[in-house]
Amino acid sequence: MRELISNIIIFIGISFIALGIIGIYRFTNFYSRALVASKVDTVGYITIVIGVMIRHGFSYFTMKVFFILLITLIINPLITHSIVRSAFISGYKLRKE
Amino acid sequence: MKKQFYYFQLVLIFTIFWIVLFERATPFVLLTAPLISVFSIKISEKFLLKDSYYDLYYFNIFWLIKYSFFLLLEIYKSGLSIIPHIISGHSNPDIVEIYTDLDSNLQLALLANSITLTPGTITMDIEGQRLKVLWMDPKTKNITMAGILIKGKLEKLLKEVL
Repeated sequence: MRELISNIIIFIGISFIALGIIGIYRFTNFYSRALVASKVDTVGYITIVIGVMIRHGFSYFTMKVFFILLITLIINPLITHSIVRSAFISGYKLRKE
Repeated sequence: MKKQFYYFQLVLIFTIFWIVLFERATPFVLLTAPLISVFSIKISEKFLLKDSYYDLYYFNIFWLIKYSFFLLLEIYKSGLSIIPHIISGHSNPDIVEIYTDLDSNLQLALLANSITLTPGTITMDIEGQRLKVLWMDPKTKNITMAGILIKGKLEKLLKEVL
């Protein structure tokens, strides 16, 4: 039962990531791509990690994965921010699609 | 009292981290964990922060759990709301300015990172209490309306921390 639930959750996560990747190839403007890419590394990533945690049950492994999730959630916005900010400073233009 | 509770929280979190890294809860690990936690807090306060954690990064663990659940909900909400844009291929990214009432550095950093973490909005810059936000599909460019739409209840929850 637990395995089935976790498989469904992991599948949902993978479909989020697939949507994000489709978005990256669909848009051509840098800013739209950056905005859509954050779907891959937040929503998709969190869902997959939660699925892995449920699949493994409560153990030290789960706790370690949870700590990795927390650390990624702290670092992830910093990276997105620095990439987009440096693009803006170097003069990338905003464009409608 | 508040201060003692705060440091107790820190030691508790570090202790759990130490035990998880060791992958066993023997008496040796349980005994060394609080000692190492207190030692690392003292060392980092003395040499890295040059100030106390209590003054710089005050938080309450119950508040933190509440905030994380709320943030998770927000992330999923905006993650779902971005799907139509991907399918239709329409995007109109623009930079809007919003104003926030928060003033401490920790609150501002938390707010900016929370905005970046939700898909569809990225914080570009902070000047004082004004945030420059890159928005996928701006519904309005009005400074207060945009603020309400982007920040939502995040700001209200962040005000509770201090």
